[in-house]
Amino acid sequence: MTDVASLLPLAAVFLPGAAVPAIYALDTRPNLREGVTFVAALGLLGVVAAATGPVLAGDRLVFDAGRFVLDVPFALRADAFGTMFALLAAVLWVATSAYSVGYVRGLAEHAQTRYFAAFAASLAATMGVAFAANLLTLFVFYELLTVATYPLVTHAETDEARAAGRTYLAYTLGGGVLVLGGAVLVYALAGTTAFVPGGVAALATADPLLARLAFGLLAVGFAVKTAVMPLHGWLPDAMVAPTPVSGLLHAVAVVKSGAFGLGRLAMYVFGPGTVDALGVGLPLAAAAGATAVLAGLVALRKAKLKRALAYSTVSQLSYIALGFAIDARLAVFGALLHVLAHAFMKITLFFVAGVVYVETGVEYLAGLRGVARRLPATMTAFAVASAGLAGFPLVAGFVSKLHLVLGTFTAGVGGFAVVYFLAGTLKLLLFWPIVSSAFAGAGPPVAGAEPATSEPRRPAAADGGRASAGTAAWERRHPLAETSPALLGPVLFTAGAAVVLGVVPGAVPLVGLAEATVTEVFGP
Amino acid sequence: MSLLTAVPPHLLFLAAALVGLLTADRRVVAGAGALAALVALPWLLVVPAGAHLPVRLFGATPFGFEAVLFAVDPVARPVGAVFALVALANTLYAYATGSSTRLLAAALLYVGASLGAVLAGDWLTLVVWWELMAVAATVLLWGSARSVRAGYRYAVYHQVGGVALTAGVLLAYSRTGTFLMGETALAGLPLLLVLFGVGTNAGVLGLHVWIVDAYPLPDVATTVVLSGFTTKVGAYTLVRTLPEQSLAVAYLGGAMVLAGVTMAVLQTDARRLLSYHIVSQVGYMVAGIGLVTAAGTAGGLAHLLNNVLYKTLLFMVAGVVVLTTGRESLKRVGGLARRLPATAGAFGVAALAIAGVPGFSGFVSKGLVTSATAAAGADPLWWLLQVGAVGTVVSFAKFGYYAFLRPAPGTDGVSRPDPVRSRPALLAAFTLLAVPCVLFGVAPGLLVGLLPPGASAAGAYSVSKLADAAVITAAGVAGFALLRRPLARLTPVPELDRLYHPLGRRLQDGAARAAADAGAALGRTADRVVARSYALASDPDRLEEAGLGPASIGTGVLVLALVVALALAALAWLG
Repeated sequence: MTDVASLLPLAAVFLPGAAVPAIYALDTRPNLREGVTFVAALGLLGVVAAATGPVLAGDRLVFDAGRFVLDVPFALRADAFGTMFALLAAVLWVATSAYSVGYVRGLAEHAQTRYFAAFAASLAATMGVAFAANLLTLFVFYELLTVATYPLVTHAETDEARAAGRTYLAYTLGGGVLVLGGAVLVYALAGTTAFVPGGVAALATADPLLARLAFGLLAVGFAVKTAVMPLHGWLPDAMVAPTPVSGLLHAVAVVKSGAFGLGRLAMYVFGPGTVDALGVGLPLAAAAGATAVLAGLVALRKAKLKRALAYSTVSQLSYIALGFAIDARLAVFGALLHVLAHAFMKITLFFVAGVVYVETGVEYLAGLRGVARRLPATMTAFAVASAGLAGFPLVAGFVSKLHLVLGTFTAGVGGFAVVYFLAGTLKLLLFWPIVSSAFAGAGPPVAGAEPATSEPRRPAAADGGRASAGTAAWERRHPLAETSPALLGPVLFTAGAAVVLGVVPGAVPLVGLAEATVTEVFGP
Repeated sequence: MSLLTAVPPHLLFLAAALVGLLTADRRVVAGAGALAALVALPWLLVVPAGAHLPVRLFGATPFGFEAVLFAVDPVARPVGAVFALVALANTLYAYATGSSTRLLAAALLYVGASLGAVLAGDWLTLVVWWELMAVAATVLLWGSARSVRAGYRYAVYHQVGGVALTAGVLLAYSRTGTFLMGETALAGLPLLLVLFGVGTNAGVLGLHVWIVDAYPLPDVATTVVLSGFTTKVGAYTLVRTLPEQSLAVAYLGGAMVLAGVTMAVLQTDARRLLSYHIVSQVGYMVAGIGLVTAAGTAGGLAHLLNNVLYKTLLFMVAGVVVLTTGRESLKRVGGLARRLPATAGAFGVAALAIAGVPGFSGFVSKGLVTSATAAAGADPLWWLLQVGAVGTVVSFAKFGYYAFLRPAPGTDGVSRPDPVRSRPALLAAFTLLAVPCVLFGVAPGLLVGLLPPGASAAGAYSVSKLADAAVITAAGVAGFALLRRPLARLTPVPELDRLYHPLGRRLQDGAARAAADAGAALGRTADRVVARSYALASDPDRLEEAGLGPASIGTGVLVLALVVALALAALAWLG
């Protein structure tokens, strides 16, 4: 493990950041503007990929901008954990960019320039979160991420969107304040806020009460974005954002930055030994466990697809939070795998929700009856991803849940395994009726079903071949002719990646980074 | 590694299923399925015993787990071979009855997953195939509108069973550090969890509801396919699960025999009657395997092999009856012996086999189980099995009488077009299954030769066995003659699903509503806290009055963010 000075972490933050003014400058030329997004996305992927090789080989790429406040440096450091998160976000940004183009143009959305600019800014902040070398640097990017995603949440500029945006800012900025408080307290106790694999030694010997307070502040602050109940209120409301935003940001980047923060806290600030000694893991685990089950239940009562997916996200994020809270080797590895698994599976589901909306105007579960005739490949991807969320084998969710459950057993907290199994069963109860109704056109009434299908948003002539209500009304389309390639390609890519992660996870560099993280923290 | 162990044979079926996704031609898919079965059958008979294809699943050392994808031993070999034979017959039958390519593909996926479970050398691999079986089965149930709802319940039952199995397996791993079957003896809580999971698939009494719920409803070929494998894989896995003598499990099998057959006698729906016989027949297997003696295991397995063959044949017969008459109820069909001679012949062979009449396979394997029971000194169990056998005779006397022997009821005047698309394929399917039913009966040595050591063909036709069979058959036929009129007046008999399903529905709704309320209350409290703390600092409404609408706020915030970022960067650079 050697620190190597490198500009790659800075480039990862700078590249999407620099795209923001460029996108604004090309406001009137949409094709060039989207070209900037693609160049930035592919460039970012290249930068993070270039960092992945050395990191896997054991190098740590450091960019130190010098003193920030007190004697805390403003520094970026690409370690295995951060690179894993950055690579995940970078890969999915490429997919989401293609999808975004198809989506906003398919719906002729307004303010597209602001949309793409804010997206790039969000990614810059996400890279900062991933590569931050200490708590204060992390805090800065954590807050910037909130701010950069605000225009995306309020994109529709309706009253509902405004209210959601206000809630969003209130929750997440408030969480940020707690993170800052915790960071300051950690600095006061340990004299450093740097991330150390296995935890900062000085915290183990610090005053236990203050140490617990610091952990509590940081954990609650990060739990806001991880949407651990009762701090989850912002996430379902934020679903008013356009679907690609829900997909990349509210299923991956933003929420995972919270989960990432919890991981940094459990592995790099306090460390497994200290967390255990202070007994602070259990309250967090209890909250996460309760959230995983409660949110899974709440999802059953949602009539709108995106709402149901939001509550499913709340539940799944707590799988991760629970794994970090248990803070033992296999549980943490499972949590890391679930960061990846959930990202690919949930983004697939959101992408599908968007395709369904663009092609048919359907937003409610009840309107999905028989829709697989019209969108065969899309709904197949949906079926695969939702099977993975329920924990079926050969999809990523199985592998991560396997490790999470084993983690609870080997850590001697087998009771929490019940959470995973119960929450998995709730996913089956949620998704099985949806998939069955989409494919078989009949089945049990979907959870919390609304009586009517939603009205097509656009006039009948452009409604994608949906002549009238009912299963038989869907025109049968060939799997590759169901929607535009810009929409279908990303769906198939993310669903395929979820399967690859479920069958040969060892072959995926992202999993290699997860393994390196566990090895770094818990030893080989 | 020879050519025979380079890949596991169940991949053949998965490949054939893939063909079903690529072409719409039924003949091609059926041909691919038949070819897969024709290659897999001899392959499984000659492949050397041992653990083949050891791999690390889900990562290299120190991550990932040791697994064996393809394990052949004297228990797995006969079960796998019979599965391949039945898969061939099923494919022919599905083709003959006009199944769609989608259904054929799902059936092949299901068979492949079942075979994968049988040939798994470790528990993790078993879990993977186990869950895939459930997925494929629910996809099969989607095939017909009538069974989609039952498919949901099927999925829920198997999710519960699968969770128990997975939890038990993982708990055992956390204690022993290995998934390999040879190295893990289950005990304590893991054993109970695995037994619950396996019991769900095997349809152990109390967990059998999904069988009689789902099997009578779908397309006839789907029922034929489903009836063969899930419960048998459950019974087979019991061999891998039980570590030591456990008469409790054996007696559970005895209870299944008696309860299943009693419920079967009371049914009028042909496929529902046969579904209850699955419970009863698996009871014999559980009774034998539950003894955990060499003779018991061999007897239970022998009954498993025979049962797959004749029970599949019976469902095929029921399917042809349903297709030909359009009726599910035995009360509304009749006189089919003359209309469907080949089907009647197939029924004759299968019914005599399941009823345990000497000269047919069921007599031999039932005898092996009862001998093992007697040898283990479990006399009450022996009686349960024999009384159950009488019930079996009663219900197949009933089936045969109503469907084939009695004159057609007056209403059956309508002549329907022949629903069988390919009569040669149907006859081939019948023949494939009927021949071993007779062969294993007249030459018990052939059957015993397939089994793991412990069984002996020598006593199969002992005087006492023949006397028992004579008494049982006579009692059964007489019983049917006596019971026919009272049974005909019977109304449908309630099942545990009357209890389970409303209870499950209410539990789900209640819990979801309570959680939603709790979530909303928590959310409101948090909202209020957040709102209060911000009310002190700002008032968004006043902001809007000042011309700062949300659109401009959006852009404004973004610009602000950029400025802050640049300022921070500059500061950091200078600092």
